[in-house]
Formats: sequence, C-alpha cells, structure tokens
Amino acid sequence: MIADLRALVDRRELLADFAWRELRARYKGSVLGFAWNFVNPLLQLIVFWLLFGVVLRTRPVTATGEQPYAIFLFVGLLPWTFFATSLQSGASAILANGPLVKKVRMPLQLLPAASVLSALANFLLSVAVLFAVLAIFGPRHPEGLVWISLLIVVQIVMNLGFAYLLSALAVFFRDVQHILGILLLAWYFLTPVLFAPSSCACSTSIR
Amino acid sequence: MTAVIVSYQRALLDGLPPQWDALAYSALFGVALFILGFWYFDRAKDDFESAL
Repeated sequence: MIADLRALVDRRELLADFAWRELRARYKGSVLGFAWNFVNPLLQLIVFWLLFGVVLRTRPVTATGEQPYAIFLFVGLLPWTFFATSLQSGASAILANGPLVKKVRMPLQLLPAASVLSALANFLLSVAVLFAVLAIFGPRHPEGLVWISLLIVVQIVMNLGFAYLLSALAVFFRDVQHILGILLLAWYFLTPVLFAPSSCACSTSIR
Repeated sequence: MTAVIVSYQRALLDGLPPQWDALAYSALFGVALFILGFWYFDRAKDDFESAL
C-alpha cells in the first residue's frame, strides 16, 4: 500500500497530465470552454442569491453578526463545490477511463487522484476570485487566511478517501454514480452552505 | 463537511479560528476514510479489468 501511495509522488507529471486533461475535457466543445469552470459556480450563486437572499430575505448571522447573503453563500459554496466535484468525478474516474484501464499498464491509483487534483485546481482558481470579492466588498479578515490552508488539506484528504472508495465501488456497482447525485443533494441541504447554523431551529445540535 | 464549511465561514467572515473539536472530528474521519478507501481500491484494482 505504501509503495502504491509513493507512485502518486513518483508519477506526479502523469498525474498532473491526467488532471489537466480532465479540466479541459469537462467543457470540451462548448463556446465558453474553460471559463465554464468559473461561470458555473457564479450562476449557481446568482440563482440561490435570488431565491434565498432576495425572495426569502435570508439574513445569515455568524459569530460576528449579520453577513451579506451573497458573500456568505459564496464562502460556503466554493468548498462545497470542491467536495461535490471531487466525489462525482472521482466516482467515475475508473469507469470513464475504461479503455485506458484495460489497454495501458499504469498505476491506476493516479486516476481518482487526478479527479481530485483537477477539482482542487478549479477550487483554488475560484478562491482567488473569492478573495478579490472579499477585498473589495468585505468583510475583510486577513487574519482568517491562516486557517484556510489547513482546511484545504483536511478537504484534500477527505475527498481523496471518497474518490478512491467510490471509484472502485462504481466499477462493480454501477448504481453508485446515480445514488451519489441524490445523496450529495441531501448532504448539500444538511450542510450550512445556504443558511447559517444559527438560523436553524436545531442550532444547538448542529455543528 | 459541516465543520469544514463552518470553519471556512468563521475564518473568512469572522476572522476566527476553527472550532477545533468539531474540525478534529472531521479530520479524523477524513484520514480514516482515506485509509479505508485506498485500501479497498488497492485490493479491488486487479479485478477492474474483468468487471469493465
């Protein structure tokens, strides 16, 4: 197992190639192409902001008080998208590369890792946009940036775990990919991305 | 994931450190999942070819 893990480091160029290929392939042939990686979360942000922020007038309250809904949503949506994309593309990492897996001898553990890596690259690019938005509109808390790298590491480990487990399971049980979509949706609503935990009736039990 | 998302919100919206106990729970879950996931993948990968 250790030797297999080491292959991820030894073959990092191949790993980066796979990740890059996945980033490009996702929106291949579309007019906006690579830009969809940014437009997608932005459109999601607008839809939810209109529904919850404008129509339902949600006012999320965090530890230091009320936050503008669009900013609150943006901060939660990006790490969630990183998580959900890692799981979804991770789950199909082996199935989608069937011909490659059958014909080419290579360390297969690169494939799920490449899915997570491409989701990570996407996430880091959109976090740069988030930082610019926070710098312009506030709230400005540069002291909080210290913790972000730690959170990203926790997420990478967790996402890799899911990606390996799901990609292998999906080969034997094709249903995994379909169930995953519904599970992620339910999980999404249970996680405080759209609302602050303080606004939930069960706020003491939610962490 | 709740602890992770809330930690992002605390850091960027409030400038506060994570709630360590909740985050530690998530981190431990992540590490355990990684070990389990990689172990299962490692064991299953020889059967991929016949299943695909």
